[in-house]
Amino acid sequence: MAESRLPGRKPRWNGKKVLEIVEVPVSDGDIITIDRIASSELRAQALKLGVDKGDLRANGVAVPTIAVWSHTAPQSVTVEVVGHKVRSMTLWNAWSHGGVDSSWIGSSGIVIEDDDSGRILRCSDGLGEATFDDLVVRVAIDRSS
Amino acid sequence: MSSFELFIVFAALIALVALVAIAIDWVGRPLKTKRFIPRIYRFEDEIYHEEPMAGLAQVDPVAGYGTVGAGPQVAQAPVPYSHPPIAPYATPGAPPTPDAPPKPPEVVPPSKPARPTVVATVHEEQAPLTDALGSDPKPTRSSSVFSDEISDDADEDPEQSRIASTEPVAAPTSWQPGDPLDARQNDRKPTTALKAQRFWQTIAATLEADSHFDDAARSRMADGRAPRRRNPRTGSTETASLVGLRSAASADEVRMYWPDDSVDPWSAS
Repeated sequence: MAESRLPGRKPRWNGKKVLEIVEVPVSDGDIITIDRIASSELRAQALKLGVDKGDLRANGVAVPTIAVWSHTAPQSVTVEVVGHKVRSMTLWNAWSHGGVDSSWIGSSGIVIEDDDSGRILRCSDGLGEATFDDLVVRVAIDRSS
Repeated sequence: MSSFELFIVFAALIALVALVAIAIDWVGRPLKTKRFIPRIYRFEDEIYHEEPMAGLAQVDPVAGYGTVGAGPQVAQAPVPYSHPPIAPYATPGAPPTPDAPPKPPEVVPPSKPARPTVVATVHEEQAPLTDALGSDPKPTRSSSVFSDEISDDADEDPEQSRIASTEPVAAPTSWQPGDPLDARQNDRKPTTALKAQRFWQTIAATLEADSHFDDAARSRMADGRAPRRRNPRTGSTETASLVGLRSAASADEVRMYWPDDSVDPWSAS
């Protein structure tokens, strides 16, 4: 997974790189499964997915960018990549503070961990100390071809 | 509209003005014969008496005082004033002789015009009267109740020293974070840009210590500017926007948002 880091932030946490966005190569027909393992109870957390060209279809809605919120989405969701020209998908975390959907500010970041069933994204919202347990999700990609 | 039509309109307006002038003149014609008689006479010789006062020119109060317009006036030649003959001294106790000429009526000299009464003042002190040329090199302060000058006398009753307060009005305090966003400045409604500035300053003043805004963003908001962030997907710098600012009176009625086009497929709406 490609990585991008905000300048001035801690580059590492527990020996792992802290990222702003995670970029994943995808193609038309790929199925992404997102399992929410844990999320903060203080505020709503979200994992957002966006494709460069084409759409992402989930729950009957096809849009270029999807937000999987902890307070609205089921614990496990599937997202389908739609579009022949899709090449890459980007993932990043967001949170709601005071009714404001925020990303990429404060101490926010993503740390990637691998396990047998897929890749685990540990996300930290921008408030308080970065503990990377505000949102923990497992992301698995089922390639169409 | 062609020039001919324009001429017609102009002529109609002129005719209308002429009709109005004629109507005013027609209504005002009876007023020309009205006579104006002042009701108040300040001087004795202007008061009308049935018997003419000897030595004084008889002035017809009807015809003498300004009549409006034409009208035949009673022309009277002015009679020069002549001193009345002095009656002989009567001997005390002696009955008046029947053949004695009638005692001329007393001549009351015209009374001097009454001095304008001095306005009653509260204080015993009174500013000395100065002539029209104002020869007094150091005009003293008038202590009249109608004066709008501040009296330096500490013993004076402050309640009666002036009618209108002349204390300097304290300068209106400038807007502070927490004040209403739509507070007037210099008696003017704030612009939307000013309200936005006030909003950010209010937010900066109420941020928690562990807020997700860094020092740079706090500094921007304290200066009245919107916070910014870098979008790693596009590499561009994004600025927070506001909604509901135009009609908002407090910061609670305004909502900030970052540029975002994501959609929640599981949301109720």
